[in-house]
Amino acid sequence: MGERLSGHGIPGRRRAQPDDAGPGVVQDHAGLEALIASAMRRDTGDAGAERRAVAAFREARESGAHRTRTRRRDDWRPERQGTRRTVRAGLSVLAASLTLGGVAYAAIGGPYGAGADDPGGRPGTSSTERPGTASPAASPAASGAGVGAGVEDGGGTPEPPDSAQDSAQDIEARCRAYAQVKDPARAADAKAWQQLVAAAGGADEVDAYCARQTAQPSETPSAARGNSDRAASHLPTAGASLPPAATNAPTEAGTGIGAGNADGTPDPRPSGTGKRP
Amino acid sequence: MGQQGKPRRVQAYDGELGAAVARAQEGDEAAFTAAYRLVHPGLLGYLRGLVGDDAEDVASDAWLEIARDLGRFRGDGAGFRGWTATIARHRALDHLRRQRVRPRPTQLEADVLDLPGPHSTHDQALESLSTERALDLVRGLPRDQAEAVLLRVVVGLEGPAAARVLGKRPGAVRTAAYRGLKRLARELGTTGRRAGVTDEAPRTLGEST
Repeated sequence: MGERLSGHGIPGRRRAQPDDAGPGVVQDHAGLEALIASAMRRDTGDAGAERRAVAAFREARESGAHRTRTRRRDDWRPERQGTRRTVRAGLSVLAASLTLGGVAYAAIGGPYGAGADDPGGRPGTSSTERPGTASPAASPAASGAGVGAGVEDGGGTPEPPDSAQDSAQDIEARCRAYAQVKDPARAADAKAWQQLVAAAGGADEVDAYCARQTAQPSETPSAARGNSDRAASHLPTAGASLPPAATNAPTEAGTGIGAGNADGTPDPRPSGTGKRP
Repeated sequence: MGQQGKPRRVQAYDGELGAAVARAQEGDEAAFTAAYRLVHPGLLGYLRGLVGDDAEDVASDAWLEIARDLGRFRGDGAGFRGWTATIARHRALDHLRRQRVRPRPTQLEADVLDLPGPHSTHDQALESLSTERALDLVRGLPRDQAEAVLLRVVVGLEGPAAARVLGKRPGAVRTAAYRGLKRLARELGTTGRRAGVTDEAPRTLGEST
């Protein structure tokens, strides 16, 4: 113990644990440890504390609490080898599940639907091709789903007359801003979002509202508007800027929603897709 | 957990502790008392390091939960110490959160009369370390080092168990414990080795990381 090489402690045999491979970690401090241990374990507490603990034990015993099930955190059996690996594997599975769930959630068009089209142009990944994949598909799927949600909203409710003809450009600007805001949480804070919500009559209506607005004959027939425009194809006021691809939208209904309908089951919100022209 | 060449002193009682816990789970009150007496000192020392003067209050809370959830526990004596330390730690963190205080060194005066001068080079002179001084020094460590040292030295947990209590990787806990002990050794003027060595030796120890 007193001998050591070149300034490094020899890894102690006294603590021969397979996972404790490190330069002479603790055996150099064995005496110190004992000192600290004896110093800090001296206090045995008072008798009152013990009585209270035993009373709590009695009470729990009487009330049958001791027949409760073992949770993961209560399992300290030494046979649990590779706990760390188990935990990591479990976390990986959990992360994957949450991702898939997130895609599914986006597919059903959650509160914000995320019908945001990215003018920067994401690669035209189609959620039909990768219904089960993780985050890359989330946005296209979300876009498709958002559009789908928007379509249903537009189809389910009679289209209200455009009450903002005089500020159509304002609305378009806001819709554009909304489209650029990918994060619903941020969207909620953006003034543009709030104005849209007010104009559309609710957060759920924003997608449809923007779709209607951008479907108006406008100066921006960009690819980014593609989805919104296609969505609007189902609405009475079909915009002149609809790309031809819009007509393909309905045929991809069943599979266009991403993970949520990966098997193509018929769905009340059929027609959004993630495809871009 | 796991076998090692030199058992810690506290582990000598782990077999007894495991048996007591099992009987307590069957309703044996005397067994619960025995388990309490084996575990409480380490738990209290750990809590003193975390919350200082309020350690007894937090320990009370912890034992309420331990007693109530006793039926859920599965494991041996070492596992019981890890399980109870986890519960105690949660109660301590709740306590700190409620108080919105950060762990800070206690205001207890170092009892210098209990310590030989800083130039002592033999452990034999440091036969006893006062509780107050030990607590003062440990509480002065960075939080992660303090916890690692407390769990391994005062509660007597092995690396994996301490890591589980803290929710960290074993390597990180090992490093933190090593650094904490090194610092304590420096502050006490000794590395705690039994063999007579000079004060310079600690400074030649290589850095682990």
